[in-house]
Amino acid sequence: MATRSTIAIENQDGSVYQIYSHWDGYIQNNGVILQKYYNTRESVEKLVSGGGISSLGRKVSDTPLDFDNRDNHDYTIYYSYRGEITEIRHFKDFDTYEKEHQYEEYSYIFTKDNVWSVFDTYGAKDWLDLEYIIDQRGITDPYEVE
Amino acid sequence: MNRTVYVVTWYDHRCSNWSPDSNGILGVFSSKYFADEAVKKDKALYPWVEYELEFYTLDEVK
Repeated sequence: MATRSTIAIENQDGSVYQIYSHWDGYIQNNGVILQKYYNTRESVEKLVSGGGISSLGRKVSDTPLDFDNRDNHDYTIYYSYRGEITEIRHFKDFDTYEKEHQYEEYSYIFTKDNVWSVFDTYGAKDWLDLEYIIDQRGITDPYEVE
Repeated sequence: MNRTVYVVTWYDHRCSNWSPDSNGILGVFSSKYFADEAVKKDKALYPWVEYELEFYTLDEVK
């Protein structure tokens, strides 16, 4: 069964973009990948601009990939790769995002301060500092385990 | 980068000081806004609890 998550970026004007991510949304996978490989505003903007994600990888391809070929775990697989149009939701500010955004098991947001926070529906249900959580739990990079 | 994080601690003075139920950490937050919002939400559930917000560098709390 999938662990669904959402990935959002708070823009410098305060507005928020959000996309959906289907597989492996828990902190041990998506959380670590976001923290380690998408830690600049430019990289997060590029990630979110692709729309809905089937599986998150540590890289974003500049050209569409084969949706059904999952041998290469390095790359993020977007639904658009199989011709599906997915929404990039836009919220005018963080308050609106909090009230109206699609809640999944895990929500990640890259804030205006260029830091990741996570909202874990199984945990505290607050926006906790992602880097601290990863360190505190001793979670390792899934790419280093492979 | 050794950035600032916001740590919220809670104290329940109804419990004895030695009890693990008397105090704890609500969370470590990347912004004061997130910390304040968490306190607001928790306070609504436990109005008798007291909260303290402190800030540290990330390295200090790791």
